[in-house]
Amino acid sequence: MKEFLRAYCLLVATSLRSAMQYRFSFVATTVGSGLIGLVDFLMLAAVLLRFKAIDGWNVYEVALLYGTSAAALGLFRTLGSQIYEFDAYLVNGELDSLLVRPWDPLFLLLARKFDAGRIGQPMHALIVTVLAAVHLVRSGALSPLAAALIPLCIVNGTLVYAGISIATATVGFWTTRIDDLQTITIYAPSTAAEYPLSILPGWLRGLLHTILPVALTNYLPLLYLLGKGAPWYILPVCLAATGFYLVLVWRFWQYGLRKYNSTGS
Amino acid sequence: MVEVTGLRKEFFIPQRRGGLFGAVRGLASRAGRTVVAVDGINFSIVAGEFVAYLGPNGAGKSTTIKMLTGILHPTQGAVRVAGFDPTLRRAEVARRIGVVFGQRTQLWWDLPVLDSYEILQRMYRVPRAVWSKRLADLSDLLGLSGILDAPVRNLSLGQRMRAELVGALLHDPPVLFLDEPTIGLDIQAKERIRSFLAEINARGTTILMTTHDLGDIERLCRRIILINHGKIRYDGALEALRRELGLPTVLTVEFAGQVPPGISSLFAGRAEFSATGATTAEVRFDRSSLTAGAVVNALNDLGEIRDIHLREPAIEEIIRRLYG
Repeated sequence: MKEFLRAYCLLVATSLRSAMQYRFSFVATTVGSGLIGLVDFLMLAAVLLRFKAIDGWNVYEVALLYGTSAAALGLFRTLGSQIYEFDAYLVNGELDSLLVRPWDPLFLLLARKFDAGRIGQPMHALIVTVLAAVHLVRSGALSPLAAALIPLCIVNGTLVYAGISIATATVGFWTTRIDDLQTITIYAPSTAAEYPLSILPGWLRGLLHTILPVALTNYLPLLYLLGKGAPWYILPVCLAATGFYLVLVWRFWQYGLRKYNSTGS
Repeated sequence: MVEVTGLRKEFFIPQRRGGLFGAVRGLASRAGRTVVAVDGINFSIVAGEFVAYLGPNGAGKSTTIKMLTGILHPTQGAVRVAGFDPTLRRAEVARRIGVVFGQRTQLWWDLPVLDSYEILQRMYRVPRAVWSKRLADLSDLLGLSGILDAPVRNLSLGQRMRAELVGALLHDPPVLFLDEPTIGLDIQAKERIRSFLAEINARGTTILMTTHDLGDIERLCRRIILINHGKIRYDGALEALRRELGLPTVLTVEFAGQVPPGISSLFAGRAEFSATGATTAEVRFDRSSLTAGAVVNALNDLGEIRDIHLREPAIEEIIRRLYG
């Protein structure tokens, strides 16, 4: 584990040094992604102010749903950008270069690029989360102890998004092109997760609890944390389910690697 | 060092569909065809050998190398590299091999060469002192000292290839795989890399190299393995193959006047002549028995030469000769 962390820090520092070779582009993307986040948030705020409450969740509760999911997604896109862009490695055969190294290619991919330019996205989501949580604690809807567990939800959510993205990337071993698919499997569920999942039809809710389990990132934990009727043990169940999901995804990835066909010379 | 038995690789080429959901539909459909890239090959390379692995494009060379390095999993058959099966123990094999792909960089594109080497030092757990000594030695052999601080993207192709070679050898692997290491290089850069490889091999590194350059093979490899349509067609010494086939260099000559009539009687059977026009002719000869200089001198004695062009025998030529 220590060696793993040291190696990860080394590669992330390397990617930051690489990014700093193009300072202007770095600054431009950071500012750009922050602005996109802001627009995102304003859209949601407009919706919330219009409707007051959605299926029994008030404005601040929905803001908390939004904040935790968007923060988790943003963290994943910042830390694991190359998994989302795995497509490119399959198309130009760059995965070959990772496979001749003694470290696992998934690890090399994760560490390949710390996409610092995207940091604006999780930052604005975290600010929304904090503002919503503070208001909910003051109004008594959220206990301080429950609020303290929200960071755990975000970390868990980051892992869930990583799992979904790795599973989608793995599909690329058969189809090569997966950029459209990544958009579908990551952004459609994350948009859904910004609202209470109870408003969705049953089949879609089922999908978001199993194959694309974004329910684990915010909806299910918040059902308990906000006192909406779920029992306490929903939290450990969510964590265990995420772990189980990641094990399945890891198996799928390993299976896919065996099917990797590379490109022509 | 390298053991290959009954190795086979099939690719399934699915029918591609376009459109937004093409990828998803492609998943469900089973339409397509199976292509056999490598069809049951066997060979064994002992420590210290320098083997050329040859074949025309699409013969299965790269596919074989990719199976030996653990990138691809064989459909059938067994591989052992440095004592391990790359399919089951990819990381163990990776620690014991060096890999250079001529067309693709293994270094960090935006970083100075030295930074890449530092990452490799940790990735392969090379002790710092051993690493610096080895780096000093290798960069001395290849004349790298001037470019260690330059980002990889700023290097010329020749400089980059030298940097790649050092990067592949920093963990002192017993086996080195080279895929077209001299492709696109000028003669000087080629020579530099060839003499470096000869030195590394003399020190005990086992090398398997693919190339299209006969010069690489003549200079470096005592043994060649030739593959075509996924099957091994020849495995043995270059000399034996040469005796069997002859490897003609083709010299095209343009005379100032008519092609002189005495041309066909030159060199008593050691060269073939054919007129290709009123003033142009082709001469085929084997460099191991005649030098290009001797041929040009003899031709010039017959008539004034305006232009010459020399074409080395390509791997494709050898294959054509083998299979008519």
